[in-house]
Formats: sequence, structure tokens, C-alpha cells
Amino acid sequence: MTRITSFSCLSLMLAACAGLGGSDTALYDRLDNRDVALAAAAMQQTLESVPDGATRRWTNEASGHRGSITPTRTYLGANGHFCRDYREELTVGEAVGRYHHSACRDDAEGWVWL
Amino acid sequence: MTRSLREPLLLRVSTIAVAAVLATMPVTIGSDLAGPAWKVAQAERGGKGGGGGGHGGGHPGGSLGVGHQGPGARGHAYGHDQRGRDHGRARGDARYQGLGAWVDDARNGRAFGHQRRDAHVEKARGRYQDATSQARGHRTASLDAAGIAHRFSPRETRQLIERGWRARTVDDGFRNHGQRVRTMVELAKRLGYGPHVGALQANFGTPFENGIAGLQAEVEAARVAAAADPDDAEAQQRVERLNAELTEAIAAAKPGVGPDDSWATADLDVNDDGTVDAQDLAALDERSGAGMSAAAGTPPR
Repeated sequence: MTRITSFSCLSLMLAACAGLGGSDTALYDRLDNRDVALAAAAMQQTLESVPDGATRRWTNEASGHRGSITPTRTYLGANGHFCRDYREELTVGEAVGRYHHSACRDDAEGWVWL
Repeated sequence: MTRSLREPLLLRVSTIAVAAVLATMPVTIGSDLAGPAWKVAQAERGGKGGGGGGHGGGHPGGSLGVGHQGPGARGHAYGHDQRGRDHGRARGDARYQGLGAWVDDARNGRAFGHQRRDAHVEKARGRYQDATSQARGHRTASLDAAGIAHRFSPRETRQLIERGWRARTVDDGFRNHGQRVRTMVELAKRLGYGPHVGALQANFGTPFENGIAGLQAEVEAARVAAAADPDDAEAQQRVERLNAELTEAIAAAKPGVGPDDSWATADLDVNDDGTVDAQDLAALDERSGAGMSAAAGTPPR
């Protein structure tokens, strides 16, 4: 009985973990062009000028959609480019998504989402 | 409900719960999109290899070693550089920023060594690139092709931001920073040091720019003088003083302070003219061309 209860608890914990962090990426499809412009600009500005752990937010007043970018770590790639891992959060209607991405800095093109 | 009836029911519920969790995990698996979040599990130096959690072995010859990842994991890799010049130990810095990051990786398969090709993310990436007028695709591959040379501390990151992402500004004859980076990475690779050595020197200075090469030459000269006259106490003291200065110079070559600062002294100056530049690549080309001719028995023209 104890074993089965433990197994059930473990299952529930795994199920709870599955609901954390790894949001449905289909939320990206619901961003309109203005949202994307704001999000992309926020990504560029944040990665360029915000230290790790700090957050910069954007809001599209027209659609009510909003998002944020938070750099989480910075490193020098072996290819010589500065790179950063970052967290992106999106709120589209009632849905909230949280994603983890990486980008590297290219002198000519700014921060390129990998 | 009796105990005998209850247990099979609980078992069935548990099984369904596990199945539901597994169903949320990777569906489509691909490996062509490995990004830094996955690559952090690969230790560079001393052969690519290693892993996040526990230990991963780097295979001789620089082949890929894969370890296991987990939240807060740090991996170590032991291996040999492809050209045998850079034996050593490397640390795979695979600490996740939080449970969310790990769960994200677990769900898309990166934590298991694969990454899901996510059509939504692919599409969003393209839209973001369009919004910032970035050329699609062609840069991503080259940016994404290597591991980590150095992880910056929060303080170093602030300094980089303040300097406009210029770790070091020198009048070095390169057209731009990109050309400097490409040249030094290529030189380091071809000389067998590993690309991270070139990346670090491009950003934080060559031994010639940091004064290390000069000090090394002085130490060597002082050693010769001291060896010639072992009773000369002043000569011995000079060797010690110069050695201390050299150690200090290496430590000051940011971000050389750390477990491995050998990048700071790696010699990429192929033609021995006291600078590291495109001429060194040309010298390497010439040297390898001559070597190939000799190996093939081609008579010199």
C-alpha cells in the first residue's frame, strides 16, 4: 500500500513538473505583427543592455498582449561570439507562456536568436 | 472497498498518471537545432565532451562525449585535444537557471540529448528576425556551431555591457572585431589549441597585447643568466621577481583568473613577428602547403 501511495505521489509530482516552465510554444502563433515587433525590439535592447537576472517588459496596448525578457546567463562562445541565455514570458489573453532561449551577438546584426 | 480491490485500482491510476506525464514529453525528436542551452553540457577544452550532471567522458580525438543533465548539475570532462597539444580537464558548466529551464529541456528532449524541432519556435524566430531586419538563417548556423569558451560572472557581464560588448579595444590592424575573432579562432584551431583559446585571446588580448610574451622572454633570459652564475644572488632574485610579475600578468588577463588560464599564454604568433594577425594564417597556409608538397614528394619549383 505504502509503495503504491509513493508511486502515486511521484506520478503527481512528475505531472506537476511537466506543467512548469515548458509552456506551449503555439502561443507564439497568436502574437500579431505589432506584438512581434515589440517583443523583438525588447529582446534586442534587453540582451544588449540589461544584466543577468534583470527583466525588461513590453506591452501592446492595442491587443493587450504583453511579454518580458530576462537574461539568465552570459558566456563567450568558442566561435568568439558573446552569447546569452534568456527567459521569455508571453501573456496572450488568459494564456501565459514561459520559454528558455539563447542568442548570440553578431556585430552586424545584433542579437540573433538561435 | 476492500484492500484487495483498492490496490489494483490505485496501481491503474498511477500507471495512467505516469503515461500522461510521458505523453507530455518529447514527441518529435531532431538533433539539428542544438543550441547553447544544450551545448552547455558539452565541455570544451581537452576534447569536446562531458555532461551536465555527474561525469561525462571526452573521447580522445575530440569526439563528442555526452553526459547526463539535471537541475543544478555540473559536469566534468576529461579528454585530449585533437592534436594532442592540449591535454587536460574541462568543466562542463551545465547549471540550469531553475527547475523551469530543466523542465523545458526535458519536455523538448534537450535534456536527453535531443532537441525537438518546434515549428512554432522556428516560425517565431523567423518573425522576430524579420522584425529586426536580420538576415534569416545563414548566421544562425555559424553562431551555433561551437561550445562555451568562458562563462561570464554577473560583474563581468556588467562590464561588457558598459563597454558596448567590447572586451578589449586595441589598434590591432584588423578591419573589425569580427575579423579579429574569426582569424584568431581559426589560428587556434589549426594550431591545435581549440577554438576557445582564439575566442578568448580575441576578446581579452593576446600574450603580446597583455605583456605576457615580453615577460616570458625576460624570465627566460634571467634564467639563463642565473644558470650561468649560480652564486649570483641578485640574478636568482631577478628570476623570482620576474616570475611573480608573469604570474600577475596572467592573472590580470581577464577572465584568466580561474582554474584554467592557459589560454592567456597560448602562442598563436606563427610568423614570430610579435603580433597575431592574418599574416599568421598566411604563414600557416604556406607552411602546410610546403609540408604537403614534401610529403607528396613534389619537387620544389
